[in-house]
Amino acid sequence: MKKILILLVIGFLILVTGCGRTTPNLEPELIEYHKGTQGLEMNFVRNLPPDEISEGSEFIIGLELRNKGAYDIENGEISVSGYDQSKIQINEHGKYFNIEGKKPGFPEGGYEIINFRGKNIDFPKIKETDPARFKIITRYDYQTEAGAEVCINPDIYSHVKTKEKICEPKEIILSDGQGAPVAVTKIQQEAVPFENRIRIKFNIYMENKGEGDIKDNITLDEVRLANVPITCTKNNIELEEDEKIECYTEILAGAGAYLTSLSIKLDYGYISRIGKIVQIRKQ
Amino acid sequence: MKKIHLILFVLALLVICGCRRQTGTDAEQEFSKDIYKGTKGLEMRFIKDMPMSKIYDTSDLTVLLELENKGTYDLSGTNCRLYLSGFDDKIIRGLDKTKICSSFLEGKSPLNPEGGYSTQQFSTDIIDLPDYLDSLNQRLLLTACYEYQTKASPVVCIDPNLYEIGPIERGCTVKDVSTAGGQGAPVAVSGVNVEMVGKDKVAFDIKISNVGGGTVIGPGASVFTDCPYQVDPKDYNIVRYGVDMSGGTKIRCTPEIEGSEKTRFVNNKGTIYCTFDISGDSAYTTPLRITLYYNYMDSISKDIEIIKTPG
Repeated sequence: MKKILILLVIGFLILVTGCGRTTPNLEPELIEYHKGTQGLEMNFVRNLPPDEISEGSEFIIGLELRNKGAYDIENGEISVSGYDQSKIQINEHGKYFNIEGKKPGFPEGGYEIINFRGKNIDFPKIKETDPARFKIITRYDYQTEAGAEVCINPDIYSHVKTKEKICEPKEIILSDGQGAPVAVTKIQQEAVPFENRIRIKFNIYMENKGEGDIKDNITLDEVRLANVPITCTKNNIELEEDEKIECYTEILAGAGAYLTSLSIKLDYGYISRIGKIVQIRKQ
Repeated sequence: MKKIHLILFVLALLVICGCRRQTGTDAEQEFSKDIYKGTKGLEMRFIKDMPMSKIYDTSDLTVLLELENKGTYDLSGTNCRLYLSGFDDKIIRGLDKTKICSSFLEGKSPLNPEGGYSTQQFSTDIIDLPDYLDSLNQRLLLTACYEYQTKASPVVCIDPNLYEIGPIERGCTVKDVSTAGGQGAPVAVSGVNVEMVGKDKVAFDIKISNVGGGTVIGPGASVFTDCPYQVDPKDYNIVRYGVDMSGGTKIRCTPEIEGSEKTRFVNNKGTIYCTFDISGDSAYTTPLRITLYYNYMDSISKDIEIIKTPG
């Protein structure tokens, strides 16, 4: 009888502790697409072309394109150049491509392989090997969509003495990029009282963090504070001359501080390059 | 053996019945001592997960609060207001920014020693996160502005013959009175220094302090229009007072601000100095009735992260 009782107690304890109810994890998951400083990543497919080809043979130049940024590329242009057209014949000099950027449901971004067929059509008779240089250039339109949390404090004289502090306006350093080669790197804020309002000036700094070049200039598409567009001094930016842009807004004085978003959209053309030298060997 | 059991049983009964039970009067007195103590006024708390610390931008946002009046002064919709801020109303839309605390939040009393309890809710289902923002942090700040009073009655000893030499029967000893522990309000009388000024005057140096953790605002400011963001800087840390004593006539109390009996806190401490005319030939004890009138501002905050819904 005692043994049965002990067994029942142990069995009960196991039941109670073992039946752990697992509640599903209901907490939202943050996936950041607007991160990084890459746009289009381009690489030669392994052995396409090989490091050496035989005289008179055909070969393929294979290119892996990955869109590592957060913007869809449409009508991007890829071309092969840099080679001696009297010795090498390529079936097409240029092609177009579309690759999706990172987005919900597509966290890695799009991927594409583009091939060019080539043939060695002439070889110097006195040489054993002859190098052929291939330069791959892509040109595509891209966009940087940058968002940062900024503190708006309508009470710049700090009259309000709440125990809890919401936030303090301060310089914001954005070091992780926004999923594009041109990155907004710093945002500064200055507030000046103006009648019963506060005029806030944002100094927005940007840099080309990618490995390519910006084609022409950057166009400032829009700057918004929360969902409201604000005015900026320039819409056309030459990065070499203009390290920052200035944008302004006004708010009513006297209310409490709050965090909000400053969103910046930049449009630009981007050029990326890679190259390879292939040795053509005498047969 | 049976006899031993019987004896033990009887002894046990005696012990149980012999334990002194507090009379109703004693219990009530203990209760009332606790009611008029404490350093809290309105206590506020966010109910757990209301709101959750992370929400999608397509979710509802509900802020649910627990309110308790842990002091002795009644609060209601006419003297207590809540303000919700710290968020961008162009992103979190349709969220009320102000509401009354409650229609009635009773202060602690003998009939209600715990004080009044209520809840209040702010909610919206419109969150408009900008397109290319993956997430946004918001710090919701809940500020309560309410009118309050502190009532203290420290018992003081008045001795007109304090400086007389010779054997005099004294009914009490003139000494400073400590009133630590508060009086059921966020502003407390912390002590009274008593000084006999000759035979017919007594002076009191009353120490008061802000012990509630919040901010004192003068009674002239309005909890509806001024607090929390339009308070004039000169209205901070002001308390109006009233001091009275049986068996004495008030001569004067200081300080005064703009002709009224008001004092200003410095580093959460203030002083009131009063002199009274007294009469009589022997020492006696009497309560010194002190009432403080003020507005109080306190706040709590909650961080939330709004996450862009995938897809």
